[in-house]
Amino acid sequence: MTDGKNGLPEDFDLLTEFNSGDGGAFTRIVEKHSGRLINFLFRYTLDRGEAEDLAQEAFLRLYKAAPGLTPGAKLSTILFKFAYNLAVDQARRNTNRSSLAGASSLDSPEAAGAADPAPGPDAAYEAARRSEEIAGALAGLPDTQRGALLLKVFEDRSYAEIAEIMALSVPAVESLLFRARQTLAKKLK
Amino acid sequence: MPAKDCENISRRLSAYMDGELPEREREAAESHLASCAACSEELASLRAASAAVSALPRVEPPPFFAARTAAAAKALNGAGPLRAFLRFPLPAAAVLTAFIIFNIFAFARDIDAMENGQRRELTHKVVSQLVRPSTLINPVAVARLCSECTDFMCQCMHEAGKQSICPCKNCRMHRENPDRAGEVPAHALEEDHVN
Repeated sequence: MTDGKNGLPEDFDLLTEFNSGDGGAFTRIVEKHSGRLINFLFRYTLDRGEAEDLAQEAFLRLYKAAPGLTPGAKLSTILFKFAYNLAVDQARRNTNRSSLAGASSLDSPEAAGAADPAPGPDAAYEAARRSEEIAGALAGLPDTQRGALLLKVFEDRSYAEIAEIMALSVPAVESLLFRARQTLAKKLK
Repeated sequence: MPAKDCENISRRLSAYMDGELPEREREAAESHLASCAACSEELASLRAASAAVSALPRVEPPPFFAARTAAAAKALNGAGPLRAFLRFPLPAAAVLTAFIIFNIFAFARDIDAMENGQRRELTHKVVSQLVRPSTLINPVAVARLCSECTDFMCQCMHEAGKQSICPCKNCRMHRENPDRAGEVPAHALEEDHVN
């Protein structure tokens, strides 16, 4: 069975295969979710190396938890829940988050100019400067607002799923998203 | 447009644009937005903020990330049978408890087979060692105590002529004095006779 979006096997089948002893199913689960998970963690932690380490740790937690999961469990929600909890713990340990804000090399004009020369150097530089500005504004949001916004915008999760991942109520998620968007809109005017 | 209406709708614009409002509230928001330029403008700015975040460049997982993660997961399994056993705390605790209880009963049985005076001496020896907390966390001290107890029991059993229930696997008394190992001391014979 495959899902319609990307032709990859559904989580349900992968979990069943994994629990019946197919070790390769775990690799396929990692391949399917790693890109989205690392992107979420990168924008949450603002550190690519840290995002990759946390993503790996989240997958290992999933690996340990998989035998106890029911076939109806939504694998990606559980995986993001593990990842979010790990990122929150890591954020508590980090004290220099503000110094990282907006300093991502991915969003810097120099990196973008080298990566995408097609629209011309000025346009690429301008786009990268704008990306850096947005990334800086995003990084300046409180952690919970940024987490909720990333889960909504990057992942297109429902409010109920975001609430489950972040262990909050649905009205709390709604409030976080509203304040996050309002703050960003003011900063990016 | 009443300011109160705008305030109520404004707080729910985020949920409206995400399609999370119930039918009735969504219709009310739509009719308000159709006639309120300020709220429509705010909705547009919220949508622009979301779109800006959505347009941020994405990162690719590093090469061989899946293979490395799968290898790390396999390494968790290959950490040895003891670790695999300890991953299930309840059965592990049950087995360990059963093992400890079995040993206590075995020890009690051996002690019970000893003479009163010897029993008291051995019990005193064990208790005086165990009441010291340092003994409990020091495996060398515990091992020494076990060894001393076994030797002591062995000696007592042989002296009492009860070699058949001697706890030793490779009896020191038997090794040191093989000729007398089967001998029953005179006082034990007397005791048996009296009993």
